[in-house]
Amino acid sequence: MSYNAPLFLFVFLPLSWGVTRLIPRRGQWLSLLLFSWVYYLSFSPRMLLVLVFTICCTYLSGLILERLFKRADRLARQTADRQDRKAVKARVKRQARLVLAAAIVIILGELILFKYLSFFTTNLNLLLSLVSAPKSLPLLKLGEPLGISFFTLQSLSYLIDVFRRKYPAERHWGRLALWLSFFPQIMEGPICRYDQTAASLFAGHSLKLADLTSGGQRIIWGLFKKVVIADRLNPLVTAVFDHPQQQAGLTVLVGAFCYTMQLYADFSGSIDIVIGSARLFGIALPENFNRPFFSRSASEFWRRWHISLGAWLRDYVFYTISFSHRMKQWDKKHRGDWLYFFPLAIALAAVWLCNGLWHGAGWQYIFFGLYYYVLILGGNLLEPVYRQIFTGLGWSRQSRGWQVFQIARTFLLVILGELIFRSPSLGQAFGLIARGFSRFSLTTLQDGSLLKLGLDKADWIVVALGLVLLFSVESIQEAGLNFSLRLSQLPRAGRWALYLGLIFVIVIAGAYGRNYGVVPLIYAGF
Amino acid sequence: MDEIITILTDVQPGEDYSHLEGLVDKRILDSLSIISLVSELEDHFDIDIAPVDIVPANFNSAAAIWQLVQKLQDDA
Amino acid sequence: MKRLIRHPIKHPTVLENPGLLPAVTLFSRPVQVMLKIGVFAGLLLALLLLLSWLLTPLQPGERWSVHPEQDFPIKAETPDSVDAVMLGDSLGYGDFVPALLWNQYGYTTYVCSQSAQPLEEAWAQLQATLEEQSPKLVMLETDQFYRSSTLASDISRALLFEAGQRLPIFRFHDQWKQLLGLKQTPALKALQQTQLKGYRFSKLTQGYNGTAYMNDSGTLKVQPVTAYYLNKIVSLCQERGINLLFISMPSPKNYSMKRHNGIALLAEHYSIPYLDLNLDAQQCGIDWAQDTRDKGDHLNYRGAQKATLAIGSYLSEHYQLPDRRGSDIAASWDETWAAYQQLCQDAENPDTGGDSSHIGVTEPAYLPASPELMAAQATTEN
Repeated sequence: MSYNAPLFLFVFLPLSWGVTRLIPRRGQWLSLLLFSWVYYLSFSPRMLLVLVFTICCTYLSGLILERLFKRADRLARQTADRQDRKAVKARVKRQARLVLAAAIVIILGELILFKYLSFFTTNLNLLLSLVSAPKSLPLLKLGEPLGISFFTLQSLSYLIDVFRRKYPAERHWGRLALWLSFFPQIMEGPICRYDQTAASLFAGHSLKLADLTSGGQRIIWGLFKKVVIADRLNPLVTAVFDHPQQQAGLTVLVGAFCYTMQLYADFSGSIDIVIGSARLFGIALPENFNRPFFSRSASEFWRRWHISLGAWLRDYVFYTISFSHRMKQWDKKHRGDWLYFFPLAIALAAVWLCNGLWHGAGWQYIFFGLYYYVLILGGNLLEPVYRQIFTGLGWSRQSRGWQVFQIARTFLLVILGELIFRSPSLGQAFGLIARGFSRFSLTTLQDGSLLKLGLDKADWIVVALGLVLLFSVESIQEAGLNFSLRLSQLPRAGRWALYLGLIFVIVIAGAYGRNYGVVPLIYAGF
Repeated sequence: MDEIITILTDVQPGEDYSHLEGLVDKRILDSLSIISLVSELEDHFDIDIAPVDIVPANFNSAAAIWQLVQKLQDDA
Repeated sequence: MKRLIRHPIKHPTVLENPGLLPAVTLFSRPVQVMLKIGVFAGLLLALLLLLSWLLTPLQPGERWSVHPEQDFPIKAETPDSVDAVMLGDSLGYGDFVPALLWNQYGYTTYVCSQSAQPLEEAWAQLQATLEEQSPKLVMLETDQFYRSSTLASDISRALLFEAGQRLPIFRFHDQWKQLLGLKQTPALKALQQTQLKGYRFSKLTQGYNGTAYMNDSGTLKVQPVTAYYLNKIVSLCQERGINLLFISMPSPKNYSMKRHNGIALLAEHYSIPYLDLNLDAQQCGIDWAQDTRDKGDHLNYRGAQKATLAIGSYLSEHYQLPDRRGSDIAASWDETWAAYQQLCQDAENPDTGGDSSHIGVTEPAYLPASPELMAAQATTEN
């Protein structure tokens, strides 16, 4: 029951909404929690145990940490001497660190067990066979619990925040359980922070027309992206990447472009449905996209694409490493010499290894991380050089032409990245890149091979118009116009005509029904 | 406050930090200089700056940094 | 534009029609909200009804303006001319050859199949068939019993199907492609298939390694949505006095003992005979190196011939289907046989080896003459 499935949109969502609305505000969280678990059950009944186990583990570890801190505070209040206070705090910090480490091992262990075990055993067996060991390890097939890549990260962020004393641990199990299992976000995020959404999820909300219209708008807009653009592109993307050896240069590049568009329309579209669905209940979830294709650099792109993952890695991987004691020591020793960038290089390496691996267990994902690592570290190191060149030549870095160039450059780099990302294996990725540039010829445009990739003329027209609409809206937003505000200022007839028009487009031009296969949400697979 | 400005100038020279706002938002301080800045501040004022405190709001101006330092000194 | 942004924004409700306000305030806020939702839903329904009316294809008698490519081609057959229909997915249209049974026994059979057809579509095909035909036998190819993945996705698919039954726009939303002339109407492949009474000819060969595949054990039960539509199909057939027969076409990729046992359980429950061509390799004598087009998923024309003849001998043994050779509908069936024979010859002959996509394609009476329609077009096998 993906978020774009009729069962979700026309049965589950209205039903859960209606039931939750009928319950007094104080009890609404219980309804949301039960519906969330029913939602989870609809995918795989056994895997609910994994979610419940994670909730228990997170809840208990949080309480233990909190108890340690409470005791430390009490002891600190009793001692007047500043040095003693520091010593008490340091001791408790050590104990808390042990508790945190244990919890992280359990939760990360879960993730590794379900997501990476087969990758590790396969590669280990490969190594074993290289040294011609007679035995090989058995491959365990456990299946992947829905949303495990998302809720484990949420759980970790909660525990680390409690450890960092950003907020006290949660005492009410229900609030934590709902925050970890809320059904609109369980499949694809956004990866929320505890202090961002837990209170609002738990609070219960009264019925507001503004919530309904705004939620409805987001859902319709998201469906447009997913059903009209992403799903219609799917046959082409599958054709190109399933048969990499048969592609001409141009079809590889068109395939990479189309996949980038499909991924964006699919992921940001389903996030629109997610945010819209939550809004129907009066709950505001954080945004996960901020028009990423208007970015001027790779690092800006990652601050605007899958924002919640980038922010998570920044707060819990990048900061942890770059502000660790050792890195600060290094910084002091090498400031000014050529090794000064070492802490940054290490922290970024960890971030991008995690980013690559998070997307899946496969060498192409690791290489995808490495690709962005090189781009972003390079950008950081070359920044002073750029600055000197521009001041030396007297050019402005804010000039329109330079900005357009930067956006175009970033766009091409992103497409190249997605080409690696979508390839079935790392070897295929290199093969595709080589093909894209060596077998490139514009005659491919004339011999009609673009029409043999599963998209007919009509499909191309729909996709092109869809993308034009999508990016026109985004350019207007990028120019600083508040779209939903302008919409609310229209007379009702105009607003409703727009809604009905968009629904009309989805119904007519959507790639759904018996002539089309069902395309699962892409990011739910990561 | 003056100490902060000295440290800032030391870490990332070439700007007048006394009235400058939006140090992080305008990317005057990048990832590299923040690392140096944090370790300098910790040494100089004998404080621990936790990752929780590393948010743009705390580093956007010399005044904001000074407030952060004072808060951490009070906590210790 | 700029002026609007700079000015303080009025609260949206103030901008709404003030004349409506006194009347609406008679109701409490939630009721107001519900009223608005209701009015919007009403407008939406009106839009969908209008679209349905616009895009639903006309029936054959009405001179079709838009030909739905795969939607019930059996409706183009002379009324009461088909004595047995085969409902199935690609194992139906790829493996069962009505032309052969005509030539051999004089039976008039027809395949009502779409690729990846779920059972609710078979139910729709059956309903459409019974509008003008009165077959004595309905054969259900059983691969479509296992279309499901999860209960939730089955229900989603069935919901969309049921919506399409009531608001045809959900079924025919793709018709704009034909209306705007962006897609050939109908495709050559579909025309050929109609000419062959629903059979889709394939001469591709990709052998299957021949390992035995029916030696597992256990029972794989069909999922609730399938069971629901099967129940409907059985009731309708009982009501109309039509015999039902389950058939499993030979296919290592799609069948196993688990599935056989699941289907046998259903057959027993409804007292429906069940012919599984996978059980006894000798029954139709498939040579897996030669007779499959895609490594044991579908049969090619050689395999289809063997499987159809095996079914033919079963039918002649168990049912009294009439021999219609020499009757007034024979002409169209003789044409089908001729087209089929030509395709076989073409496939056997290494010299022609070329384009056989035209064979069997004659222009249906209800279409305006258009020369481009007959132009050669590369067709891909699927």
